[in-house]
Amino acid sequence: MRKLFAILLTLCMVFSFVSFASAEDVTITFAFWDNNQEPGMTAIAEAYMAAHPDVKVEVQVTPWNEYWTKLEASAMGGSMPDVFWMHSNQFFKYVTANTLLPMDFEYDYSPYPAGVTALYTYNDVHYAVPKDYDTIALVYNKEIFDNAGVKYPDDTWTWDTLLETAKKLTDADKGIYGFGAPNDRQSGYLNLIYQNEGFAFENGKSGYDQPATQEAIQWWVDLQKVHGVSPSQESFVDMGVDDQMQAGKLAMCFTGSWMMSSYTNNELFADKFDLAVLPQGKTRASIYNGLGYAGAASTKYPEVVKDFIRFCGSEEANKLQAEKKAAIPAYAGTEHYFTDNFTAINIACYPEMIAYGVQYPFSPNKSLWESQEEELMNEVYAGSKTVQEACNELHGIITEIEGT
Amino acid sequence: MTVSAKTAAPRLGRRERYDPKVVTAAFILIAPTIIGLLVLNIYPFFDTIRRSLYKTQGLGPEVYVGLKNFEKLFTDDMIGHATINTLLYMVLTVPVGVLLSLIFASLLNSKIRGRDIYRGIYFLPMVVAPAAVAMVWRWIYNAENGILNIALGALGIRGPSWLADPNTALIACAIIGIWSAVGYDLVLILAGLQSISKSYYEAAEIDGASGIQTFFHITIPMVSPTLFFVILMRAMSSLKQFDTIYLLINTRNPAYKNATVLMTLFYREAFEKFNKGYGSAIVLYTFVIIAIFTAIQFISEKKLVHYD
Amino acid sequence: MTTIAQPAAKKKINYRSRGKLIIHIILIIGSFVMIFPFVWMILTSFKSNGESLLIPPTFLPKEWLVENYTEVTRTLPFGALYINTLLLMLLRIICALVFSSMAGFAFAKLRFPFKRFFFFLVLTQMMLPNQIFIIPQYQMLASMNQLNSIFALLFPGLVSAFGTFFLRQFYMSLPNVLSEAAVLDGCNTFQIFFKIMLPLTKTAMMALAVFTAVFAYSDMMWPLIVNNNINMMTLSAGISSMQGQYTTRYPILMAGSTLAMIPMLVLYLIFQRQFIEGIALTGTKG
Repeated sequence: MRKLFAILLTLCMVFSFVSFASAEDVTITFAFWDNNQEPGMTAIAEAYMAAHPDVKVEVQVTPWNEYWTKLEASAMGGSMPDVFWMHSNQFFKYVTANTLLPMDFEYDYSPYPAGVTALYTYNDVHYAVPKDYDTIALVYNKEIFDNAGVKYPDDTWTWDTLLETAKKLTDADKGIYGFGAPNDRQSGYLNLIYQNEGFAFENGKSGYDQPATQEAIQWWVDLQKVHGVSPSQESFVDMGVDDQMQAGKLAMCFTGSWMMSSYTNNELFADKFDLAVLPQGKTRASIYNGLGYAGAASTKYPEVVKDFIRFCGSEEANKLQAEKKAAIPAYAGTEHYFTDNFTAINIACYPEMIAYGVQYPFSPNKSLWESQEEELMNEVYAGSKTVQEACNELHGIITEIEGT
Repeated sequence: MTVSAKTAAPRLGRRERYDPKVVTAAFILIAPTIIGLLVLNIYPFFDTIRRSLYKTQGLGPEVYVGLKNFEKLFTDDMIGHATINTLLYMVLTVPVGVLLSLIFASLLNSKIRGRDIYRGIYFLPMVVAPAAVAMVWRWIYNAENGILNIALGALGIRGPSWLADPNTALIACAIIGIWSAVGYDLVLILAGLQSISKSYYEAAEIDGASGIQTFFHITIPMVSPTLFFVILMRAMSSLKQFDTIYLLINTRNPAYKNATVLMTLFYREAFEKFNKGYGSAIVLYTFVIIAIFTAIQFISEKKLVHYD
Repeated sequence: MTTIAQPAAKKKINYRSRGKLIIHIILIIGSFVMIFPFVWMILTSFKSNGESLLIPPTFLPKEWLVENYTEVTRTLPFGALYINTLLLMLLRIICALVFSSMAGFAFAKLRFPFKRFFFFLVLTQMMLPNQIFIIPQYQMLASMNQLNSIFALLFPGLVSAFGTFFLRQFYMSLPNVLSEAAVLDGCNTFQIFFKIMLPLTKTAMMALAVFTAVFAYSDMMWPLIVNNNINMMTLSAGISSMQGQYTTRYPILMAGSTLAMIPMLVLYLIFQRQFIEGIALTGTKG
C-alpha cells in the first residue's frame, strides 16, 4: 500500500512538469477571440512565416468572455500574448496601464478609416494598427417581400418608408413582423440618433438630453410598442434578432457586417435575403467600429512584434483576411476581396456606408455607464419609464461619471 | 485488562492532553491539504478582502476607499434584488432537488429490472457541457415553439415566456439547476441507502411496519448523514450559482432584475465594469450569507443527524 | 393446506407487481425529463445549420448529416482533447483521493489542537465562489512559468476541500472499535489509517473519484484562461471555444458536445456498478 502511495505521488510530480519544448527560433503568440475568423488570421500568420523563416507565429483563439479575463490576468502577470486584437471598449483600460506597445514607427495610416485609427490613438501615439471595420446595414427577406408584392428597399428609403413598409408586411396571424427592433445600441437606435442629427456621446459629453436624440430613440421603441411592427422584447430574449431573421420571422432588420458569414452559412436562408443601405433620417449615418492589432509592452521581441503588426496592416494581409470572409478589411481598396465572396447579395452597401459612418461612441469610462444604459432601456421597454425619463437619467449618470 | 486512557470512551474537556504521537501524525496527514488550501484558496480570499477596501480603475492604480464599497453595497438596490433572488433560488432548488433525488434514489434502490439503465440515464445531466445545456434549455423554454409550451398548449394552458417573464425567469433557471443536480445527488444518496444494513428492514418487516413507516422511521434516519451532506452541498452551490443564469439572462432581458443573483452581479461588476473592489465586496457579502446558512445546518446536524 | 395458502400468495404477488409497475412508471417519466435535452442535442447535431434555427423547430432531422461530426473532428483535435481530459481527470483523482483521505481520516478520527480551525479552512473554500481564485492562481502559475501545461490544468485541483469533507463524513461513520482494537495491538496512527480505515472506504473513494472526474471534466473556463493552445485544452474548453463572438453554429457545437460526452458516460457506467454495489459488500454498518 505504501509503495503504491509513493508511486502515485511520484507520478503526480513527473506528469506535472511536462511543458512545451521551446523553439530555438523566435516564437510570438498571436491571440484573438473569434473562431469564425481563425482561417483568416492563420493565413496571415502563415504568409508572414513564409517570408520570415526564423519567426514562428502561434495562433491562439479564446472565446470572447474568457479572452478578456485571460488578457487581464496576463497583463497583471506580465505574460501577455505578443500580438493580439484590441477592441474599442477595452482599449483605454490597457493603454492607461501602459500594457500596450507604442507603434512608434513611421507608418501611413491614410488607407484606414480615420475613426478607427483615432480609436487606438492615445496622447497622439498610435497603439494599434487598424484591422477591420464593420458597419450596419438593412437586411431584408426577399421571399416575404415577394409574397406581399412589395418593392425591395433601396437607397431612397426614409424612416417613413421603413415604417410604412413594415406595417404592410406585418402579418400577426402568420407570426411575421415587418421589422425587428430589439433593445440594441450598435445595431439599433444609435444609428437613428445620428441620422436624426442628435448624438449619443462626443468629446466627453453626453447627448442623451438632446431632443433629437430622444426623438430617435422614441421612434425606435415605438416600432415595438406603438406600431407593433416588431416582435416584443421578450421574444428577443428567446431568440435574437438575427436568429429570428434567419428563421423567416422578420421581413427586415438592421444587422452588422460581421453577421454575414452566419447568414450565408445558413443554407436555408442564404438565397432568401439581400442588403440595402440604411434608410435616411434627416441625414445618413451608420455606426461603425473597428478592431486593431496591438502588441504587448512586455513582449520579449518588440521589433518582431512591430514588424508582424505592420504586416497585418498591409494590403496583402488585409487581402488574406478578406478572402477568408473574416471581416471588412480596413485597408482602403481591399474591400472588394471581402465583397467578392458574397456575389449573391448587395454586400457592397456595407463598405459604401463608411463614407458617412459614425464611430461607435467610446470613452475610457464607458463600461461604467453602458450597463446602466441597458438597464434604463430595459425599464423603458418594460413600460416603467418613458424614453425621456430614461434618457435624462442616463444623461445625469454619464455627466457625473465622465465629468470627474 | 486495563483500558488505557487512549481507548477509554472520550471524556469531553479541553484539559485532556493530546497524545503527541497522534497529533504529529494528524498534522502530517492534513498538511498537504491545508497547505494547498492556504496557497490556492485562502490567500486569494485574503486578497479579495484587501481588494474590497479599494477602488480600481481597470488595470490602473488602486485607490483606498475604506468601507465605501460596503456602503454602496447597502444602498444599491440591485444588491437587494440579487439577494432576494439568490435566496429564492436556494429555496426553490434545495428542497425540491433533494426530495426528488431522495425519491428517485429510493426507487432505484429497490429490486426492479433495468436498474442499471435507469441509473445511467439519471446520471446523464452531469456529463454534458454547460454551454450545450444552456442552449438546449433555451430552446425548450422558447415561448412560442419550445417543447414545454407546446406540451402545455396541448393541455390547454398558455405557457409564459419562461426566460423573459419576470415571474418565471428565476423558476425556469431553478428547474435547470434541479435537473442538472438530481443525478449527482441521487448517486450520493443511493450510496448512503445501500449502506443501510438489511437487518433493520427485516426487523421492521417482522414488526409489521408498512412501507411508508419503514421509510420514515428507518430509511430517513439511517441515511441522514448522507442527506446532511447533500443538503449542505446543494445549499452552498445554489447560493453560489452562476453559470446557467449568466448564460441565459443578460442585461437586456426584461426579467433581469428578477433573475440576477449575487454571483452574476459580482461577475458583471468585476469583469465587465472593471470594478474589482466593489465586486470583492459582493463576494464577501455572499460569503457571509453562505456562512450563516452553513452554520445553521451544522447546528441542526447535532439534533437531526444520526451517526452510528 | 396448500390450497388455503395459495390465494394469499397470489394476492401478495399482485400487490408487489402493481407496486413495481408504479415505480417503473415514475422512473420512466423521470427518465424522459432527464434524457429529453440529450435527445434534442443529439438530433440537432445531425441537422443542418438552417434547420436547427427553424421555427417551429423540427424534431427529427430532415437529413441525417454526418458532416457535422466530420467537421468537428476536423476542427478540434479530439485526440489531444481526450488525452488531456483523461490525464487531467486521472491526476486530479489521484491528488484528491490521496490527500483527501489523509485529511478526512484525520479530521474524523484524530484528536489534535486547532482541529476546528483547520476544518473551517476546508469549509471556507467551499463557501467561496470559484471566480475569485482564477486570477491569483493564474499569476502563481505565470510566475512559476508553468502556464500552458498539464500542471496548469491540474493546479486548482491539487487539493480538494470537497473531497476532504466528503471523506470525513464517511470516516465518521466507521465505528471506532476497529481502531481501538488496533491500538491495543500496538499499531501507530499511520498503520491504523493505511491498514484498517482506508481499505474500508473503497466505495466512498470510488464515488469521490467519479465526482472529481466530473468536476474536472466540466470545468470549461479555467483551461481556456490558463492554456493557450487548442492542443492543451480539455474537451469542455475545446467545445466552448467553438463559440464565435456573435454566432455559433449550433449543430456543430452539439456534435462536439455529444462526442465529448461519451468518455464520461462510459467511465461512469463502468464505475457505477463498482461503487454502488460495492458498498453493500463492505458492510461497515454493524
